[in-house]
Amino acid sequence: MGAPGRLPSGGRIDRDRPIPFSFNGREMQGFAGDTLASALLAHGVTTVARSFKYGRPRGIVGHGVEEPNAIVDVGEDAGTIPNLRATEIELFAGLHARTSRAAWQGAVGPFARHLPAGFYYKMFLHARGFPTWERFLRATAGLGDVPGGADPDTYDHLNHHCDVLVVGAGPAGLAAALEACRAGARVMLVDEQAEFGGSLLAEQGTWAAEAVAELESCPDACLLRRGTASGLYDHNFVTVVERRVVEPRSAPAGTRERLHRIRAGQVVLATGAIERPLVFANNDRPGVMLASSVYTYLRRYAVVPGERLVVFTTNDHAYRTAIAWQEAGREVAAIVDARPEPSGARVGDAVRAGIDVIAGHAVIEARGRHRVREAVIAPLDGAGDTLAGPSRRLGCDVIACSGGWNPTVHLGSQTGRKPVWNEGAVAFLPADPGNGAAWAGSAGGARTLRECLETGAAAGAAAAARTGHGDGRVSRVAPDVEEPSEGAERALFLVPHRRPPSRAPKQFVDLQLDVTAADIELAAREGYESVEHVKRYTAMGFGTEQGKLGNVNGVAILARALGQDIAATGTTMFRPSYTPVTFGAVAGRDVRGFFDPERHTPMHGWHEDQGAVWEDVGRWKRPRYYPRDGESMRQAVDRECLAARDGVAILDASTLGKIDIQGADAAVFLDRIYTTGFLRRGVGRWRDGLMLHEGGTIFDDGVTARIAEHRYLVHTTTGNAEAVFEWLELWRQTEWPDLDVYCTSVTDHWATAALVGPKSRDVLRKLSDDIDLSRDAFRFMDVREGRVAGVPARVFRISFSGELSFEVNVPAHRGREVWDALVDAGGEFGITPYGTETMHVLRAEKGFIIVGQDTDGSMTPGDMGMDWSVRANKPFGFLGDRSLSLADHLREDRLQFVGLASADVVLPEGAPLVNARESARAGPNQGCVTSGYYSARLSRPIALGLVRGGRKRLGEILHCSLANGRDIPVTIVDPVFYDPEGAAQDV
Amino acid sequence: MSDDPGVVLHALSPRGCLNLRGDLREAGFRNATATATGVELPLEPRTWRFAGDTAVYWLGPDEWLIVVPAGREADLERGLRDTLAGSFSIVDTSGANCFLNLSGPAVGRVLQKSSPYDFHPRNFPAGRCVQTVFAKASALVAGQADGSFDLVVRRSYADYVRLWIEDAAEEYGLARR
Repeated sequence: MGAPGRLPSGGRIDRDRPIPFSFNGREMQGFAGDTLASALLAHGVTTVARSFKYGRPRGIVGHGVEEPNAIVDVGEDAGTIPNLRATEIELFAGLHARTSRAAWQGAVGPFARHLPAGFYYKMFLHARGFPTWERFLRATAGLGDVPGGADPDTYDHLNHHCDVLVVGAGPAGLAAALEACRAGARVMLVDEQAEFGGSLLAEQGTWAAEAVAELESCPDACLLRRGTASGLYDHNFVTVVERRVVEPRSAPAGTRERLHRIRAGQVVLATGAIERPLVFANNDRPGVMLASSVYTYLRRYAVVPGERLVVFTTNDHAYRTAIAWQEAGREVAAIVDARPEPSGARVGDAVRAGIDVIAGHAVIEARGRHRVREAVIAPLDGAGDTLAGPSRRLGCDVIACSGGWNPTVHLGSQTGRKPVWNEGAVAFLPADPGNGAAWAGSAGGARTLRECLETGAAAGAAAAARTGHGDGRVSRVAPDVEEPSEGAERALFLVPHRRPPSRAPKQFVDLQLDVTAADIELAAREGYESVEHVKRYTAMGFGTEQGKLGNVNGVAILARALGQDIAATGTTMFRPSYTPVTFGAVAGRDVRGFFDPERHTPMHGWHEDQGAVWEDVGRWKRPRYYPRDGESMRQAVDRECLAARDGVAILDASTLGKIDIQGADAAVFLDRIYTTGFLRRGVGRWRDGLMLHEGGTIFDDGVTARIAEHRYLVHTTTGNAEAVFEWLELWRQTEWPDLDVYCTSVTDHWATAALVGPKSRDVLRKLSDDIDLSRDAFRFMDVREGRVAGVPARVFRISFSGELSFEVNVPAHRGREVWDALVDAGGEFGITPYGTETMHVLRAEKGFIIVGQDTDGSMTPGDMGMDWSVRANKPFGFLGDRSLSLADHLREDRLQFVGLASADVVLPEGAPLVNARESARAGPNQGCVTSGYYSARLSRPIALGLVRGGRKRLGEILHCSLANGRDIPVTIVDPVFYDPEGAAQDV
Repeated sequence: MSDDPGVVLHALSPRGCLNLRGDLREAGFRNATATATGVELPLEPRTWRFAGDTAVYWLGPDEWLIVVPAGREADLERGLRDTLAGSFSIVDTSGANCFLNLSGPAVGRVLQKSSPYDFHPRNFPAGRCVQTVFAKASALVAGQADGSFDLVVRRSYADYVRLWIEDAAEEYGLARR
């Protein structure tokens, strides 16, 4: 098993730790410290993928986040992680990687070459054919395989706070973090690689290691490796995705990815720069790489990815690649420099090393089908638009390109401040991101290592000072770096060819999405002027790579096609995320049982033991019914209903919202909130009331008890507890601050057991000796305090069922104890637990409404037949009072609350009602069913609903339309089906 | 469980709780509460104080939580009502509150997983307390002198919060008391 590209010495790999892995089924071996990409190059693997649209062979181009071609899937089955960059995968034993499949390839295959740019848009021009095209399009979407089954890995979130966050741990980031730490700030340093150092990892010096050691000794520095800053949001909130499990499946209990949510006082953006490739014919052939990547593979990974090198450059920087290549013992065919008179110090070094420097020339075309074999070079004219002489060929198998540097401006530009073209720097330089974020190093346009270190240190010290640490001065100057002087670079974005782009071999701008210079020129010819439109028309800058390599060239080519300058053309918008983020990382631990919290009453365990079937009410788990011995829901509910009507039954009502109201103006406050009158209600009495919005529509209903002279207890519906509390506070704090009143939520303080049925008094009597429970001493609508089962309790004589009923309230930590005692005491009376379904049937038999079920937010008290609850002529009025006299609220044909009788079918909630002779589907709607149940007591279905002008239409027959298409006749009746005189509760 | 747990979760027994509202501008409000409880009202936001077995937590500019041993809340409420005059409110919330204590070397990590609030000692030394988001519930968190944290959570959310903490602490090794 040969690794012909591996150098015998050098690099940051550990030759004592070989690591076996496989790629597309081929077994290979690399070393600790390798990435998948460096290990593949060491083995001479040239073609790693087929291109997205044209199926052309593609090789590794870059060495980091910018890699467009070497996209792989890792892992098996449900644990598959698709679309990873081979340049960022640390090699581990047993790694099985395979090229991410472009769905497009399978669907389009050889026809792709005939599809022009923008074909997707053009399809929409012929809408009639679209359904056919759509099927075809769906099949082409996506890259990589979606894992089958639920993800077995876990993900989580971690919050952080710091004074200074430094993004990027290259020279500038390390210098910034050091200065901020030395000033005493809480510092966080984040880098996406496994090792801090950035570009310094390809160099020999020791400064980076010393800097990291010093940072590690700072107690308040948080150092985060393998973390990609994906988003920068308002107020310096930054999200970082950390890859924690390098080897998938090796640590099943561990968290695979962790989303760090960082709130920073100041952010130093030291995100570096990515080399700009050059656009020439067939520049996608395997072997065409970034010059900085070739250099990194040589120096950091001790890998030489070929035998004979051509460097194609517009600047001095790339000369180091040729020198390093030669030092590795391989041949340099030539440095092809687009500048007519290259002059920097490195140029001299290369010439002295005997390297052939061909000035004023460009590589206009790469030759070789599966691997570069030759570079075709030709002299450029002064403008760089045309060729100034005949071409010739240089034999080579790697072309290392450098068109200059693009600062990695993405993160800081996400705040909406676009980078600005700088003619002198031949780059888009980032704008001030504002918010207390600042750029440092090459991300901010620094050209040399010394500038990177200096701008980093200055940014770190300044950021610390702005958070109150230090005086902003740099404490210690970074090491003296001797750097060669550099000559000016030449701007070159599209290398001319003998033929125009539309006729020349493809000149790729975006390798991942197969967008060529000709495509961009076509878009311009077809009338697209905005770079945002051209992006969408050609797909330039889409995909997982998001234009990190090609976009600036694309913008420049578009600018020339439009006859305008690059600054006027501008960049597309930068948005989070910088690199793809998994859904798992976004979800964190908020999955399954943690997706939405369950709220439990103190009696929850008892219900569980009884086999209750649950209903979710808001976040609460409430028993819906308690099936016994294989009962159906209907059988269980019938049994529970009859027990409540004939004997005694018990309901856990702890979930009702409860608010304690105190203060000298408590009565005045409630009088304004509720439709009902509170001023004359005596202590120890309760009454029910409606709460209206300003528009006069019903918002909530509930019972309010006067506990003491200046103290009330308000009950709300279970689902509305928070909304009602906020409503009360809104009025208390903003409109009536003069009232002496306080509201305190006590929902969680009270456990409530409702004892219902003719024998409920007998049960309670066994457990309470200090409350007189007799009919006349404890009247309907009374509240009494005393002891129940030895526990201080508040007991309401109340009824939501129409039966004699007592609600026993005790502090929640004693709720289970009292519940057990009640169930025990009720044993001899056949006490039956019941759930929300039976509660609904019992109240429907009595025609009691449920807000939110029988009302929909547009109903007034009058609509619901509840005018009795509205007290006119209050001293202040009440919320919604005036709106009740709006003309629309007085219409006679408003939807009104009625009962609905059907012969044999339980009417489904929501079913529409129409006039009898008309078809259900055509006729004007007369209303709908809001509640429908089978009544065991009445031995027939009952229903409640809303009908236009319904109260004057009692006895009329409507048709109810069922989901199965059947229409059945229903009769409009009074909503009180059971015991209209109220005799049952008056015992 | 691990011999050397990273996190220790201690479920504390119920305590007596009174939620006190009142107006600091009312003459005598501070003195009267101090007399009845034996603890000076904490006036600085996000602080709590204690004396003996009574603790008082600042919840808002006009709101405090008074915590006493279980069973003492009724007497204390009577005492406060006898002493206080003017605008105030006292509500027994003993049933509403569950008390937990979190300690151990990794306790900070569990709090970081659970809340966006900054519990770093620079921001949250002993004697601080805050009502904040805790996972998808809320909690009153109080920093203790021994470096541990008391959590007061609403009873209906207590099962959820306990499960959340167990999950968050698993990787550090969790011991339950």
